[in-house]
Amino acid sequence: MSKEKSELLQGTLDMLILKALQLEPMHGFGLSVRLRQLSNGVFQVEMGSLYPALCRLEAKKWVKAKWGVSENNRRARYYELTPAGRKQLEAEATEWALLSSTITAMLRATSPSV
Amino acid sequence: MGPLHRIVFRLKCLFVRNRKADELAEEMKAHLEMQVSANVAGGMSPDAARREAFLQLGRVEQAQEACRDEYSFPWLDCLARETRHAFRGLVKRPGFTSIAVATLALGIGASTAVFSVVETTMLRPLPFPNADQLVNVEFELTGKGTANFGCSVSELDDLRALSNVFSDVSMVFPMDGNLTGVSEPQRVEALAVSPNYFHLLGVAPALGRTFGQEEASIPGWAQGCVLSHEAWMNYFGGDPSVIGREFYMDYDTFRVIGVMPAGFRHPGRILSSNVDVWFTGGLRAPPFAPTPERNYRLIPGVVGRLAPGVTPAVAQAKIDDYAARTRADYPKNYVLTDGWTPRIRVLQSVLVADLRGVLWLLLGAVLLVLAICCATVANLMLVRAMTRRQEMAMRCALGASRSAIVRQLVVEGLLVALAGGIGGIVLSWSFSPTLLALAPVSIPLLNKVALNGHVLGFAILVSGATCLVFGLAPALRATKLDLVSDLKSGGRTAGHSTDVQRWRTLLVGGQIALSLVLLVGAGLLCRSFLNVWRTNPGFDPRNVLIGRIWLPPPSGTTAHKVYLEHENRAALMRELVRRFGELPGVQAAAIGNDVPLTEGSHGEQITLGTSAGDSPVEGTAATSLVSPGYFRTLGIPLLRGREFGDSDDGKNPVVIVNLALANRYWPGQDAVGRRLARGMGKDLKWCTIVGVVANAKVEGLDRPESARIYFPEYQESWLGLAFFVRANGAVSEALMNAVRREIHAADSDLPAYGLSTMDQIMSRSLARRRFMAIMIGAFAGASLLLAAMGVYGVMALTVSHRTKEIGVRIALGAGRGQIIGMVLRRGLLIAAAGIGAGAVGALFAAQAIQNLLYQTYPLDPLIWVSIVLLLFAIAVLACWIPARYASSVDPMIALRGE
Repeated sequence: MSKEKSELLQGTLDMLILKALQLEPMHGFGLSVRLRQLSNGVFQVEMGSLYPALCRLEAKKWVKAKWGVSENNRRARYYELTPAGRKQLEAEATEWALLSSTITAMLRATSPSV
Repeated sequence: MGPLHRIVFRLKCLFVRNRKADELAEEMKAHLEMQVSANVAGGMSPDAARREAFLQLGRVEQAQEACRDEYSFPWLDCLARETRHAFRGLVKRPGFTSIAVATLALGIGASTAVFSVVETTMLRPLPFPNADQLVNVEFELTGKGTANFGCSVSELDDLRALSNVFSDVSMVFPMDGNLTGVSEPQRVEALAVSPNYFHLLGVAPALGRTFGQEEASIPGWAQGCVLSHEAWMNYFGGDPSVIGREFYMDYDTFRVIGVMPAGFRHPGRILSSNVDVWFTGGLRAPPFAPTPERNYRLIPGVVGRLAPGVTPAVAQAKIDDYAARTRADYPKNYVLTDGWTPRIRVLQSVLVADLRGVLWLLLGAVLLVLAICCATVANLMLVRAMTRRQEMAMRCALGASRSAIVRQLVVEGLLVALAGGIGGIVLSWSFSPTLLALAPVSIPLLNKVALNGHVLGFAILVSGATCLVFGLAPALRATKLDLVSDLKSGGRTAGHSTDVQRWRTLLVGGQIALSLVLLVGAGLLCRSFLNVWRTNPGFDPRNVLIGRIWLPPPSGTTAHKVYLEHENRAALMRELVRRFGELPGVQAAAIGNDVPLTEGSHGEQITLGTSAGDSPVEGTAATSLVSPGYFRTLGIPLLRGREFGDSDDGKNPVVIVNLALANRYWPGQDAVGRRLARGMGKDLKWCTIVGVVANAKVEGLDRPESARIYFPEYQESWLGLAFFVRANGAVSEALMNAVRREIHAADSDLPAYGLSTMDQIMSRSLARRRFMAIMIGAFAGASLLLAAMGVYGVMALTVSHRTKEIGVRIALGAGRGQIIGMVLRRGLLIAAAGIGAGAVGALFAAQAIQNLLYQTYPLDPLIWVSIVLLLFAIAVLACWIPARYASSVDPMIALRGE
């Protein structure tokens, strides 16, 4: 969890949270575990980043939260994608794919062909 | 999902903020615990697992802080915190806070109240559509210097025909009337107008209709009349079916055709109260001539509405052309050298002409008070900022940013200004009705006085800016300066405090200067008031009851012609004098035609004969009609000859003159036995002078006594009567009722009105001067108090700053007297500088109010010297306590204390 890692995360964290919630509602700890798994252990999310991001998403009505009981009987707040959140995820994923493929292509380009 | 959405979300969270925070904390704790469990499951010891979880996830508190920025308004939290902090700080210093707030409230309240009244009476247009087009037309003889000449029906028709000047004109003819046919006879004020009067003003009736074609086509007075709201309520009980009801006014039958809305007032001079009844007519039947005659100038006043786009200046130029044409066309009717000219004046300025001086004076005074209040508050803020230097330095040292400190001071200044503003609003709310009630308003109040938002805003802005600038400036400098010296010195002797002291000295000097201006103004006005008050009126105002009666003029259509004849009026007067004289406790009673001190009388042209039969002399004099016993009743001394008697009934016409007339036309000779007559030319009715009485100030206590002729009322009389009853002691309610009963017994259709004592009338005639003196005096007193506080504050702080120095001086052998002298010298220096600057301002102020003064020299040495001495005395007094403190400084303690 070096600085670079969290900075890398900064712009895309909201999108990755939406992605992580795509399959099922999850609580905060579950989310952080899932994000680490999805990134093959590259991203370690601090609470100081995760929860403000969740607040943001909640404010935008892309996720909604309700209290539930976790697998080991702990009270936990479960976050769930809203239809608007689902749409937003699709849009952002498309955009990201375009952006990243473009950037990748640009980086791979050899100088003579430019 | 725009920014609006997020703001709404945050606003929602604002109300559930604490719950939200708790929820987050619980959620994060759960998260942490899960991480710990996971770590333990991964094979760590519980302690290591917890430590590792913290490392992995970060602190709960910090995360919470980060979240709060997401779901709330950070600056709002901050502001709330600052406000709470500032509020607590202000409450902790009730002395500072209450003085600052009270001072601001005084400044804001007084200036707003006074300006609101000024604005309502002077600046705001009349409550009529396009009121700036409404003008008064007065007729002048510029060659003779005569104004308010009145006009004839032909001239009114001429004006109406000037369609490029006026869109409409209407006559305005105030009259007294006796209203009968209602429960009790009432004296009412009626206004005869042209049929287009209401249309000209642009006002619709509340009930029924106003004058129309029906009234305009009648040659004489029309029956249809319009009531004021008050008359409708008072005499007709607010009856909604009043339209069509008939009543009698001076024995003529009238029919109600409309009722005006409440608050509608005739915009112009009236007789005594407000207009109750409007009536109209064609002006082609008595009292007017069947065909208009140019010289028959019965109409006393005209109002007009200028045609659209015509300015008063353009209108006047066109009217001047018209006047020149008319003078040339009718040389028989207009003497060339008289210079007959109709003059237009904007209605609004005519209405407030009387009050203008008073209101400007008040406005000037109140602005001075506002300035003094601001200086006081500035001074207080400086002191506060200075005493808190240590606190500020401490906060800086602990890491408070400069912006945080500035923010706190801004909030504090704004809180003080806000509280002062609220106090000011409350004050001006309760103050403006009093101001209006005190104000001697001689015109109908056409607008309701409403607090003026602009002025209130301006006053609050000025005081708010004062709070901010003087609260912030020293603090800003403080935060820039080196903290170490401030922390060490405890904020007492730091270098720049002398700078602040210099500012404070300047402010206090300014306060003294402004106070001097106010005090001199108050002194001059009080002196004028006293001069008028102490003036010998020439009559004895004690124990005299005064009232009026209006005798209904006869109408051509009814049988009531009683008071058409002078003999019948004289009989009524004799009867009344006899009845009043027989009442128990009455010393003397008499009848006259006007009440002293209530209206100025115009000079009348007279011709004075000589006993030797030389050629007669022309002159002017005021005239009065009085019955026998008048001089005795009012206590006007008879100097020569005799009073009028019952037999002075016109067979041998006689008059009595006052000393001023006798001295002017027969200086050094006996006027008794000489002759004079009204008017000039031939066919004069000569009267013999039978007595000379002392001058009496019947036109106004502050007016010079003009030459006056008294005619015996049994010899000639008019429809308006005033009666005078001198009692043995103070005038009682019982006497008033007895007098009313006697009038009723003499003629049950006659209402008496305006009953009051001569003392009351005299006091009322002084109302304006008293009002000015009281108001400016109160302002001056308040400013003196504030200035004294200022001097004391500065000196007390100077002394406490210099405690160490004073200690050294005492240790080196300075005596107590020397120390006291040192402090006093400094205080008096400030006072002297302020007085010097103030004297210059006061000179200008005294010049400006010169025409409001009565027998008072603007540079009256007594007033100036005593006010300067008073200010010095106040300064000495304010310095005395700090000086005493300084002289009692114990050198040991002072030196050790540092």
